[in-house]
Parts: sequence; structure tokens; C-alpha cells
Amino acid sequence: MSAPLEGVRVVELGAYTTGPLCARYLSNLGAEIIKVEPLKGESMRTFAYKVGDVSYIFHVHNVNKKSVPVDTNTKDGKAVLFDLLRTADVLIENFAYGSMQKWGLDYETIRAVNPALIYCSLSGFGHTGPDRHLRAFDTVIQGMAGVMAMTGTREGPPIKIGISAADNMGSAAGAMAITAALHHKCRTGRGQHINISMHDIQGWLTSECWALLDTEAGPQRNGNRHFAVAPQNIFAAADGLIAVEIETQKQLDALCDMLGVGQIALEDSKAHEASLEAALQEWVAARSVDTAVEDCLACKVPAGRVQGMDDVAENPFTWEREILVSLQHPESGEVKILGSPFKSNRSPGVVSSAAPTVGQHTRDVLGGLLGYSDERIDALVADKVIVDEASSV
Amino acid sequence: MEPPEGDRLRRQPPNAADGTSPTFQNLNANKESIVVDDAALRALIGKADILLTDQTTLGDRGIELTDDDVEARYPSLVACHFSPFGRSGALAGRPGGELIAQAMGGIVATTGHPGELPHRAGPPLASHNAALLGGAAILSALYDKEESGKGAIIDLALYDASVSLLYTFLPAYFLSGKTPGPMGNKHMMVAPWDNYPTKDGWVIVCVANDRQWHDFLRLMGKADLIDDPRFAENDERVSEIGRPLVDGLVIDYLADKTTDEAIALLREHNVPAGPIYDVPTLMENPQFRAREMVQTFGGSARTAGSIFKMSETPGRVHSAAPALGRHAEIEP
Repeated sequence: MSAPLEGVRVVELGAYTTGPLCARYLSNLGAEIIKVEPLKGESMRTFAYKVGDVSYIFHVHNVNKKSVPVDTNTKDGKAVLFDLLRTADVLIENFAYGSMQKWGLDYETIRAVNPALIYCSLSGFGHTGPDRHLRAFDTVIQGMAGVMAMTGTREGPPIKIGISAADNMGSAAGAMAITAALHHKCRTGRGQHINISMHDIQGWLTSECWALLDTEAGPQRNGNRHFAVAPQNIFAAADGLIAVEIETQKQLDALCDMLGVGQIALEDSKAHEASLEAALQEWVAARSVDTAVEDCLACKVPAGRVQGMDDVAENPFTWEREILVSLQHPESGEVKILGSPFKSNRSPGVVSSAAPTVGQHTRDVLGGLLGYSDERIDALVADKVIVDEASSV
Repeated sequence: MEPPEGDRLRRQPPNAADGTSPTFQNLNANKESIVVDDAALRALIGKADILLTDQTTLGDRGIELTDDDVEARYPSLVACHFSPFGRSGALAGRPGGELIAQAMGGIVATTGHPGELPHRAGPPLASHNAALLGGAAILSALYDKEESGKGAIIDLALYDASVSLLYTFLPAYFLSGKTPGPMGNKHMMVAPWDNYPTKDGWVIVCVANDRQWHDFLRLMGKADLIDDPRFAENDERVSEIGRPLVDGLVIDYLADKTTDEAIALLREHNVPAGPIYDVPTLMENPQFRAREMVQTFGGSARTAGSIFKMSETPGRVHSAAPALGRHAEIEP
């Protein structure tokens, strides 16, 4: 058993979600992550819902990582960063467009330091195009990419997707692009600059409904229904909500049998949506969630509970799949955290250590990896270029 | 590889003039098409780097390809099987598509407005996120194969891909025991953050930190409130007392401005803000167009451009979706 990216070294210059989570995904695939933080620690450490002094969500995004705080605005700090980058395969940054250039850390400068480095920029609108300078967070991106316009009911206002879709999908796209670039690097020895735009990705997410652009009504938000196939909706059982989703003719036939109504061709299913939904609602209402789901599945009708965070967290399947796992943190004790979505016969995905404290690995990395002497590390600490946990306590 | 009657999405309404749906065309640019049977599949796998399946691909077509088969006969193949609940655990093999993945994966229960029935994410979020994670899993396995010579059998569940999106909700649940419900367009951990009414519509405002809040107070001419203990720091702004206060300040400030005016002012003062675009507006959006995110072939269906902007290996869309069996001449 071995994780596929073992031996790949990533330097993360990130803040909040997109960069840190992208690096986290790569760590799940086996990469080593060196998180180069500001001396006071990365911004998300201060977010609400804290375990001890550190935001819980920081823990979620930063398992498996090594913390090396460096003031990269100083000449000596930049030298430390460049030494790290000479040993690295990948740099991930998610600052506003132009920031890295302002700090003297743009791609051209870094390429001169290490031409084989994969330099991945994750930003709201990418590094090209008229809006590249705009500052944006998740909800702004969802709004400007048509995602909100397509979520909710026609009668109600646009709604964002509850979770931070733009942040998280930017991370996943970055992870995919970086692994492709690693493959290219392995073959050619060349690095490259990747510029991922969260807005591109959220726009791409809406592409299913582009099929409707030339229809009379155009794309419109549709509640929980699908634009072409029915029934797909949420139904109220006696003690909660279930989703029923018909996608194929076979499943529609099974549903019609289950409800005791005549067969309908899948292509005509939207025309029968109202009557099918009414019959199904009546059928579901007479059952508990568990019974309704069980009975649907027994009839080969796809169905599932609408699970809240509590249901997801308490469902033994979630733990069995190790998509939630429990880690011990040296100071905070047990932390329940996302596992790895990357499962294969070669590796279950790596979730090995809790998020680091500020400067936890400074001495290990600068001494062990870069060969800095203790005296040199002490001097950098004294000059406030780096923070070493041992010396800061 | 398609069944003899073609992928079912070819027939999904609305249909283009040639009978193939724009939905199919959008998802299948850059591909070749061949009708699948057991012999052709086995012959092609022998020459392939990657095998992708979803729940409907192999079993439904009478093809039995076990993991033992793959490991014994195609040891360097990277196989990735997408399914609703994965291939291990109590729910393995259960049916479901996008809606059920979102429902079971916690997306539906947290999308919508408080007190109303929850909603699915309109776009197919679970599938797209699973596709990206699958891409990373496959490409990292290919990278590993260059050295080890070994392939991998990847088990990518839509459920896992959805639960992976819940990270903002884990802290509240595990620390307070409270189950987060839909919060409209607010953010659980930062404020002010919402869509706010203007004279002629909405503007989205996302204040992520104290600095941006202080910039916003200066813009509103309320610099004297920067040190106000009721909302000086984010912990107070997200509290039950603080959130309505900061939301009230924002609403009052925006009431006499149009959306365009509001966005211009907010951006000028470094406060992240933006409009709500519908999809036709997105199609004309200068940024989206400059990034070549909408592509067409000979006036037929629109397909998304590549989200992978890379200096050495830029993603590209080079050919329209294939007709069924168009590449039957592919030599297995």
C-alpha cells in the first residue's frame, strides 16, 4: 500500500480555504506539504468555532501539514522561501491577482529559482481577463457565475449553495491540474504556471442548463426538479424528508409499478410530473423516512434520506467509509475531521496528523531538509524572519 | 463506449435538430464513440491507460469485469469507478444520481432559506466535484505508475465528494451539537455576508475579516464605530446580537443606491461585492468570454471551455461530441 504522490513536495502559501484545501487534497494523495505561514499564523486560525485557541475549520483544512512561518517580505525570509522552493515540486498560492507580483514572488521570478516548479495560482477570476483584479469571496462568485440564479424556486429569490462551492471546487480543480502538471513534469522535466479561476469553475458548473439557452423559457431555477426528467424531488415522510430520483426508463417503470399507475415513456415524464409527484407524495407521507427509503429501494426506485449534518455525522456508513475520521491533537484532544475522498486498492488516502501549531516544524524543515545550522535558525528567529515553536514558547 | 442504442443522454430533451441533445454534446466534446461489447472492451483495455466507469456502464451491459480480472490481466491499468455510495460499506451498490447524492451528502439540508423546505444546488454539484476529485485521483495514479509500473483501482463515491464539501458545517456540529440548517445566503462563520437589497435589485457583500469591515465602516462614514465592542471583531459580528446590527447598517447604507452604484463604491473600498447574474448574462460576461469558457462548433450546442488554464499544457476543446459509433474503425 502506497499513496500515489509520496515523495512529492508542495510549498503552500495560502490563506482561508482554496489554497490550503487544495494542498490538503494533495496531502491525502500522499504529498508532503510545507505550509509557509505569516509569523502570527495563517488568517483562518482566528475564525469562529475554536478548539483551544485555533479555529476548528483551520484543523479541517490543515491536517497532514508542516508549519514553517516565514516573513517573506524580508530579504532573508525570501531567501528561506527560495531555498524551500528549490527542493519543491509544487507551489500553491491563492492570493488576489497581483499580490504575488507586488511581493516579488511572481511566476517569472520563481521560475528563475526553480524552472521545474509547478506554480499553481488559485484566484477568484484567474490571472487573465478584464475582471482579474476583482476581489471576491465564495458567495460573490456563485452570484456572478449563474449558480445562485439556478438554485431555489422560480417564485423565490436566488439562493447560494449552502456550502462554499466556489472555494471547494477551486481546490479540487487545482488538485487535478497539479497532478496533470506533475505527469508532464515527470516526462519533460518542465514546470509551468497554472491559473485557476473560481469563476470559470462555477460557470462550468452551470453548463448542464446551457442546453436550455435556445429554448423559449431559457434556463430557470427549478426547485428540486430536473429540467428534463421526472419525478425528481424532495418528499415529506411522516418524520422527515426523502429524495426520490428517476433517471432511467427502468427506474420510471419500477416507480409506476410501485405506485400502481400505468407505464410512461421517460421522454414524456415531464408531462406527467404533477400527477406522479402527487401520487408519490401521498405514498411517502404514509411512511416513516426509513420505511419509505427501504420500500423504494426494494422496488428498485432510487431514494435516500435528506441528511442534515447530524445525520451525516451519526451515520455509521460515513465512518465506515472513513470520510469522517477522528484525530488526536496534542493540545486540543480529539478532533473529528474530514477524511480522504481518494480511495483505491493501493491507498485508502492519507490522514496522518492533526493541523500543526505555528512553527511546529520550522527546525525540522530548515535543519533537516535545507541543512541550516542551529545557529543560523536561532539568528533568523532572533531577527524575526521565522518563528520556531520551541523558541517562541 | 456506448450501448447499441446510444447513451441515454443523447435522447434527453431538449433535442437539437439532429436528434442529439445539447446536454450530451456539452458533456462529450473531444471524445470518440464506439459501441461497446465484451470483446471490444477487453481488447481496448489492453491498450488503454485509464478505464472510467459509472454505475450504469458495465453491469447494465452484461459485462463482468472483476477487480481480480483487472489486477491479473491489466496490472498497469488505472481504473476509476464512480458510484453513488462507493464500493465498500453498508450502502455500497445503492442506486442514486445527483439529487440523492446531494440529499444524502448534506448539501440539500443546508441550502435554502430558514424555515422553508430545503433545496438542491441547482447545478449538478456532487457530480462535478466527484469528477474533479476523480481526475486528481486518476492523474496521481498515472504519475505513480511512471515509476512503479503499477496501476490502481479507484473507488470514487459521490457521497464522499458531497460530504467533503461540508467542511464549514463540521465545526458547528461537533462543537455545539447543533445541526446547521439552511442559512439563505449568509455565512455561518463570518458577517456581514449576504445578498442585500438595493434600489433596483440585489448586491452580494462578503466581509471576511476585520480589515474589510473597517474599510466598509469608513465607506459608510461611520469610522467612529470601528472600535465599537458590539461588532469590532468577527466573533461578535456572527453572534446573535452582532449579526442583525451589522446587517442593519449594511441595509441602511444600500437602500438609496442602485446595484451598479453599490458595487462600484464597495469595490473601490476593497469590500468584496458583486451582482447576481442569470445564465444568459453569464454567456455574455466579458470575463467568462475572455477566458474562452463558452465554446461552440459550427453553431451547434455550447460546451464549456477548459477550466485548466496552464502555461505549458493548456486544456482545450478540439472537437464536437461524436455521432454514435462514429469511430467504429478504432482497432481494438
